Amino acid sequence: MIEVRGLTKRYGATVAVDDLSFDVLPGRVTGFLGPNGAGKSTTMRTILGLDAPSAGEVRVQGRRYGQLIWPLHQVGALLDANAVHGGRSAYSHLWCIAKSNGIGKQRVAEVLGMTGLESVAGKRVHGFSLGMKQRLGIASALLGDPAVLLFDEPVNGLDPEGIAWIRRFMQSLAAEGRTVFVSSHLMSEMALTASHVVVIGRGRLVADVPISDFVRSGSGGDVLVRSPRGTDLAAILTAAGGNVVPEPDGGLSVTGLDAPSIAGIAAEHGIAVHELATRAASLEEAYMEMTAGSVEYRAQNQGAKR
Amino acid sequence: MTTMTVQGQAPAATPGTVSRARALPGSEWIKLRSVRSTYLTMAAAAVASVSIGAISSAMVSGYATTPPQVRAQFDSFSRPLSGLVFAQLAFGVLGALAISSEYGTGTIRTSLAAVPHRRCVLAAKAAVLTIAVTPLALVISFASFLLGQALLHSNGVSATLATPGALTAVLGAAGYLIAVTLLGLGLGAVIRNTAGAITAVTAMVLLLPLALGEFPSPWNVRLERLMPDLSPIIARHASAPGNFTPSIALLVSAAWAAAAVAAGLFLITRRDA
Repeated sequence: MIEVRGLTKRYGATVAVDDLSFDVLPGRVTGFLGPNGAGKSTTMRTILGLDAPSAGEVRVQGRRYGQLIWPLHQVGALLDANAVHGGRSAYSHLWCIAKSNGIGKQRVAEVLGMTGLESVAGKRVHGFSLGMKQRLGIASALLGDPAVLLFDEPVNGLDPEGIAWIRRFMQSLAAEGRTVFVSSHLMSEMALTASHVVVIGRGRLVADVPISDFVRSGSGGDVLVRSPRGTDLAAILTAAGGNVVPEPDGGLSVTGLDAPSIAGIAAEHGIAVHELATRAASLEEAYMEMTAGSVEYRAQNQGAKR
Repeated sequence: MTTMTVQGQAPAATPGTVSRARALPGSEWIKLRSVRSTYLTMAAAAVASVSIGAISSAMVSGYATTPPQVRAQFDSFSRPLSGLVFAQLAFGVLGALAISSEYGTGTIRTSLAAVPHRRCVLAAKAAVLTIAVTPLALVISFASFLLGQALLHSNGVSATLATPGALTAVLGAAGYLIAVTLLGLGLGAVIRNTAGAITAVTAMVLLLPLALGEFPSPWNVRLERLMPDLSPIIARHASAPGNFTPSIALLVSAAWAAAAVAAGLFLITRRDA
């Protein structure tokens, strides 16, 4: 369990994290979403006691990070897969981390096995692909068999196979009752991995909800109707309280009325309907809508997007 | 401040039987011996030191025909140990790399997340480095001295370890190399960047003493002697009036090393990793 309370982090005049409060509960994968620069990595570093909060507090398993005597037995983290000394072998990399927390060589061999790195254990990390480094980072996070796991953008730059592997791995860790907190700026990735999301934008909390609610909370969504008598139907639906917007291909985008009501109204008036479909807002749309105005670096031509 | 749940409290006790006092140096020992740069810098130190001291000693010739006033200036300690001027850079680099490479690669975050007691991490590095370089420093210093004396022998000017002041010079030189290693570590912890730390340690042990030597007398001696410097430690005769004795000169260098490590210890808990 991770408890973040009133967390604020300033770098000079820049406020990276602004009065952030949320809990990360055990037994599920919690996604930590936000655009680039939203403060995700800063928050994670603060959880690990690497950055000191300007205000507020973070507790892990009920304690401040600095009070943990052998932290690797409580918390495992993968912040940056490239944060390895290229000249060191995978085994030595893990062994020196393990040793610092009184973890034995046997466990090093175990985590190498769990992450499928046994065959390259003696090789210098220098020649590792990003995917192998991600596995090595996950191996080091697992060394102490911790109840809390943090992963910062673990799928960045991975191939589809690597992404699928990490996704399954995180879900199995959560299924074992561990607290799994994983950051991403990709909504689609979180949709497949997380059951709960904490969304931040510009360092502030935007949402802390189950992933299903997250979709519902985005307004979006409409009903597409296609009819040979589109113009007539549009007038009738508007009179019935719907908001009708003709689409370029002749379809009608209707909001304010659901599909059954539209079908009923069309039948009443004897208007044939060729197509009737409810279009839910995608997670992406919900996310974009929520974090709109909190994107640090927006593309210049975004306004031109249709 | 919201109240926190107490049920989820982690056990404060340590699993296993290993104490932190043993685990942490053990971890740093693995870090030091699992990278090639350690062996390369150590080998470079040994080769540079012994070979340059030997060449410098072997080049002495015609001592018997030299005028007495020039003979009196000849330093049979400094010649064989002159290679240590280069070896000290390798020691400084070794010390700096022990921490600056962690900042350079980002592994410092892993290290400090694993051990939030940051001062213990730096102290363990200092202890492990000292233990690792002490035998090397002694071997380099003694080997340079003895080989150099053997080469000077034909000129009839050689000294032995029994010569008054010789053992002080040889042991002092070894002690100086250890001090420069820790100076490198301290500067690395303060600067947190390999290139910057190596530049700083080089500047302190080589360039600053040279630059301060250009000051008008007596300020050149007064300032120069306050810098970490090998030459007064291995000098058989005090080169200028006002210079410290070898023992005091070693203490000055050790004080710089201690100050740099202290600055590192002070800053490591005050800055974000």
